[in-house]
Amino acid sequence: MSKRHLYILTTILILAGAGLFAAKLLIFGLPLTPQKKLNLWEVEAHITFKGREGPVKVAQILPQSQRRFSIVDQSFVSPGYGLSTIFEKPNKQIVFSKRKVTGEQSLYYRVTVLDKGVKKTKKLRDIPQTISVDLIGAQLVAAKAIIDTATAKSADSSTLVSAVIEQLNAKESSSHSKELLGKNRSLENKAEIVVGILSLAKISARSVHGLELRHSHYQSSFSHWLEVFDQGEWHPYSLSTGQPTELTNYFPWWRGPVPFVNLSGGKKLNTKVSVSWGEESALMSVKKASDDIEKALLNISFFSLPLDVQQVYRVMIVAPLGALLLVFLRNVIGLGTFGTFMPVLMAMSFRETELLWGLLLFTIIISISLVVRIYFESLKLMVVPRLSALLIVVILVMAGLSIIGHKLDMGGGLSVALFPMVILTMTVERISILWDERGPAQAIKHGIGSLAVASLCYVVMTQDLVEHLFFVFPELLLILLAFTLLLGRYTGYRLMELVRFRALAKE
Amino acid sequence: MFSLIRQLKEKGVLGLNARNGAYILPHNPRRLYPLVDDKLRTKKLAVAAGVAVPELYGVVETPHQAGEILQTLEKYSDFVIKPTHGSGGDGILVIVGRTKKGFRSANGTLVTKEEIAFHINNTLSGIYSLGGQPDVALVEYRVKFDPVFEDITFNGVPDIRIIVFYGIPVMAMVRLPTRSSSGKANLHQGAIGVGIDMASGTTLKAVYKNDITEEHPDTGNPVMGVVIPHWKKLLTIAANSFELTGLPYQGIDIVLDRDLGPLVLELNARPGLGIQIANRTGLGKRLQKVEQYRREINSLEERVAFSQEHFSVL
Repeated sequence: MSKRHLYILTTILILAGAGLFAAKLLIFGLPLTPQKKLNLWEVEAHITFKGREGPVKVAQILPQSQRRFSIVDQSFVSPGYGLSTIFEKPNKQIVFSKRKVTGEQSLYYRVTVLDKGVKKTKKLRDIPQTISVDLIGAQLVAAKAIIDTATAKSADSSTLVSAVIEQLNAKESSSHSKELLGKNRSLENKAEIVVGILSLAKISARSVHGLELRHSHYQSSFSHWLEVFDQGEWHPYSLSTGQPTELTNYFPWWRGPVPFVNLSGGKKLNTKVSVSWGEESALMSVKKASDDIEKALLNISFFSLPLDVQQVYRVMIVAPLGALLLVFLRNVIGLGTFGTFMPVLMAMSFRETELLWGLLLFTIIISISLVVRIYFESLKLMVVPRLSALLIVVILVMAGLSIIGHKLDMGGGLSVALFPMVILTMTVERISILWDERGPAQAIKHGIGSLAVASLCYVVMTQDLVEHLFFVFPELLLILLAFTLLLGRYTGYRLMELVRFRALAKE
Repeated sequence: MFSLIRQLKEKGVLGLNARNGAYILPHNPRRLYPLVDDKLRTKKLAVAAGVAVPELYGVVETPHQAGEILQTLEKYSDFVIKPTHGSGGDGILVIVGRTKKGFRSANGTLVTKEEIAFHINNTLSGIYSLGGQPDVALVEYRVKFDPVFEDITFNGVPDIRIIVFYGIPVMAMVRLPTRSSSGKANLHQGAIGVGIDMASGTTLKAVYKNDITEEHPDTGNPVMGVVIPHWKKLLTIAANSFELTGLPYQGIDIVLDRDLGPLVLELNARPGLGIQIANRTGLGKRLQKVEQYRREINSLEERVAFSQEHFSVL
């Protein structure tokens, strides 16, 4: 009875999942594999602030189509706000306004950018107008001093620009750079000061603010660099090195000494920007759909969510696959692991550290903490204080690894911060108890088992195709659920048991 | 590999998935688990039903009581401290005697009063209990095992595990502590399991770390052919455990005391599968036979007789 019930349930689940999947695939033509034909980027700015029970005006700078990037689509989510656009050279602004605003406010701006991949820039005949800050008094003296030193050291305008930036960046910052930058050593401020200094040498320059376009990017923030006009073209310069750069993956959003968002009438302004790439072409094909059913389909998909939430689901949506794999490895193969979901959680954090780094860091953290845990044993601590002490040790080890990793300039060391610390702590505790009671061989066997399962989960969960499939077709989870339920009633032998009971078969 | 699976199936060897999926989950109601997971409740249940158990010296529920119990224990020279929710024999401290400075444990090391109090506090905070829940420690009579096991035991108390299905004893084994099990009688800790003929109570070949053996690894004495005293009484106690808890599928652990005879140590709702290797027989066929006939046999005597008649291998 109960088994038939289960079979009916799983059949329904599989049919529902497969049906939805087939419909989306065949009728609406959602792509089965990640499409890379169109280089589309979806950028979302999320502005939050608090109203003061009065009128509010929020001005946000809009990106503009350029030689390489074109704006394909933009939309605003701003319930109850009036919208207007102002063109204030060289930037365009959107102004959200409302008569009376109280409490927490949230505005969304979403833009789809097409990267056409054009590398060449247009030659300009006239020297363009630029805006620069006015340097007066002591600042003017300092700027002139910097220009003089830089001119003496340089051969052309390119080396002059580098020399100016280098002086501002110098480790033992001179009194000139202190005078000019004051306490605000941010790149934004530096950009404006450099533009000001260069204008004294009759060099046209402007600050640029843009976003790095990186695949699998979650939260982003604006980068700032410099453009210098030379021989009819704008040349980008890095503000941190002072050298001319290529900037292949940067989308310039706006130029000049203005903030991204200007708020009047509110407080606690906060701006979050997220960038994503990948399935937008799929989204576009559905967006074009005029049919009501197709619209509904889009509305119940992940694509209707804000971008940063979408990014969370991109990671989360593959976790069930890891869990199913775990069920298979434990109940069909018979591998032992520490804790039920530890390997899946480890696999998820390996996404950030990458597998080899992840395994290495994991082993280091566990080994060091285990040594401390064995020492704690001799202190005869009660359980809860002992676990808390262990948690502190684990965090100290993680922090240490991050700092050492950063000093040695190894990227992997920093991402250790994403390891689930409580899971690590409980793992150390379990290993040490197993070590005491069943001996080191068992403990090490279980540890290697856990890492093997975590690595396998990682390999499966990080496949682009897998991520794409589950993100575009979340109904596949129903099929996954069905298989998990079926495995829940699997009463056959585990592979490891065949080894255990092999002596019985020979009788 | 498939022929191996087929052979095991033919012998009725039960895997963990089959034990859980075909016997424990469908037959054992979850609400009855606390009766066997809590050793204190099992003990009270057994005492109320007139089943002999090791005498309870005291119960410790708070760290404060740990000091009091040490005073109570002044009048005993040997005792056992156990977590009430322990599993797999973990967290059991056996004290066999006193010294000037403190106590002597089963494996010969000296234990101070402070170490006993620390052990009790650890137990209370739940490190030995299933799921790490806060626990209660109980102190009880230390069993002096029957001389029949003298030559085939190393440093510990051997016990007899009997699997009971709907009140019918299905399979049994003696678990003999070894040097590598450090006095514990659990197979996965390195104890050896010796199969028992259900009709006569005579021991069969043994399993040591999943391999079949005929002698005790430490003493070198043969483990086969030992006749277990009070066998019928043991079977009756086992059969009666169904009435005690109401759990259809359970394992019962009984020790044979030199002076007091069979004493029930604990009951187990998820007994391990190593017993099949010890008996070199699968559980499946015997369980199926019980399912087939269980409605026809009701009284305690009938069930014991059924077991002796059908599950004999000699």
